[in-house]
Amino acid sequence: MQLVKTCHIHCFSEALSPITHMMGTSGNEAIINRESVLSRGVIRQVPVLSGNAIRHKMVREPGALHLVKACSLDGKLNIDQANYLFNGGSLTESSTTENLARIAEMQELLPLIRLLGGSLRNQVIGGSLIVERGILVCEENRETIIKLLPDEYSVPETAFRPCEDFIDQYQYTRGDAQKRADAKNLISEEVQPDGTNLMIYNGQTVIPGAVFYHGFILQNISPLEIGALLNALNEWDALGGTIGGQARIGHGQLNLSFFMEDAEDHYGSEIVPREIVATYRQHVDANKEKIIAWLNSAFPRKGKGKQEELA
Amino acid sequence: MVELRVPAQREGEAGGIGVIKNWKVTAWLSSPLAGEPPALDAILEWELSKRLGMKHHNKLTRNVPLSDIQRVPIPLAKRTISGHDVYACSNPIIPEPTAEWVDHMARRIDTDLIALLLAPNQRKSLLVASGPYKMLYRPLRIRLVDRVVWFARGDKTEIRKLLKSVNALGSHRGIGYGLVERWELEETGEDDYSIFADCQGKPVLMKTIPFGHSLQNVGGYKHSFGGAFPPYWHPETYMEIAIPC
Repeated sequence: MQLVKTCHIHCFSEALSPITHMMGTSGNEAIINRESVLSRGVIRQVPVLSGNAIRHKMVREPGALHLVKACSLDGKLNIDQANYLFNGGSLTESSTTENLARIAEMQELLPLIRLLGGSLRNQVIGGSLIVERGILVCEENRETIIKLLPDEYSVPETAFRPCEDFIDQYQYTRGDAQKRADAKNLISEEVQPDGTNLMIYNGQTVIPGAVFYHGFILQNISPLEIGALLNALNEWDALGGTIGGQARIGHGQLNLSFFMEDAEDHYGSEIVPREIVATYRQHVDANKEKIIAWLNSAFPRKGKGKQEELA
Repeated sequence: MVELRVPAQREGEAGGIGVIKNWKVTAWLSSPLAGEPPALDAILEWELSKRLGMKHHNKLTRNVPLSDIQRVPIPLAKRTISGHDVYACSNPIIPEPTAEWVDHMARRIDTDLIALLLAPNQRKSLLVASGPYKMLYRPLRIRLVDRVVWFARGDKTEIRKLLKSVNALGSHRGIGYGLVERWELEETGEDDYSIFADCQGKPVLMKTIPFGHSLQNVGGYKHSFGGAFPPYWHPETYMEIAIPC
């Protein structure tokens, strides 16, 4: 496995539709996720995309979906295998022994999981990916963004506006079948209406056009892991590229652009994103059988039907 | 197993790999800190053992006896206190947080997504209130601090080499908390604050150390039970200790 030095991928994600990544409600209103930021001696509450959401929505879920598709695992997984691929697994057995052969095999076969880490039934395996939070490109985050960007990159001054300029509201109404003109034809008269379902719901959004800065730090990884990450980002984009809630009604769409810092392999050759994504996909295709065998050995079925494993 | 030692790590010994001096080590952060900041000696042991490819960098568990593992020679001076060797580095010091809040980390199985991916005989009722598939909405203590500081006595070049690849500190580093923007080492001259510091003529404790006679006339500590050297969480390191407060 060729090792590269730690690689930092910087991303700018522009909101193409209202972003509703929420932190709770206040009365009847959904509140956008915010964090405290010290700006010019004053603490401001500034919208932020959590690293946890970015990690799951942009990397783990699309990456796992690609593995399922590439290895033809549709309709064949058991619950522990699905939990491991999509949620990182859970420690459910005593961890008095460490099966290093199993860990080594996983790290060789599944660069995506080596990157993200996860828990087998009896051992937790650390990952090598740090997902940065998505900070809004605004006046309050100016200093942080300048500090985080490499010297040769900059953000136009006009982008640094007060964060409140990027906040707006939405309001929708949930309908009630009883209010329809043809309700009498649809609803049996025997059914007595129990109140109404009509409901107005509203909340805050980050407006389209706002830009979030975020990044991925990959520590001591091989080009295959970078390929796994970029492939997951490609898959996420192909699936609609959304973050946060209300994606069903068009919210949360992001347009992601990225550049890589220190993107060199062990021999000083430049890493070309398109090539390493193709290499990663070839790696998965070439190791389908081994990946399936590994999932079966790490997460054998319990109880009845134990013999029916992934074919 | 024989414990590895670098000769120059011992106070008063000549030669070795570098010059032992007193340093103020600062990690400047670019994102808020989750949980507690770690001890400097723990970070250095972790980083060096990882680089040496040693199994225990992530596989040392509470069940593995410390006598079974090889300890790595980190570039910090050691002092013997109450019969135990401890590294000369203070506990982490953070400024008063500019802001403090509770974030939440959510986790749930996306049942609507995975239902059709499961084999037909695996599609059954799933307990999500407890057990391995439990949904979580875990609170995280987040503090907005711009730096973490340690006072240490050791070899600057080697400390810097190890720290340069430490990108984040504290809990939940994988989701962007505690990101280190840069490391800074400043010499503190003859003033060694790694274990004790002078406060109005009276020594105050700066580091968790084994409880014993060395604490006579020392202030600023509380008596407790726990680890005084890395791995701090391992039961074999537990003893009566004095914690700075």
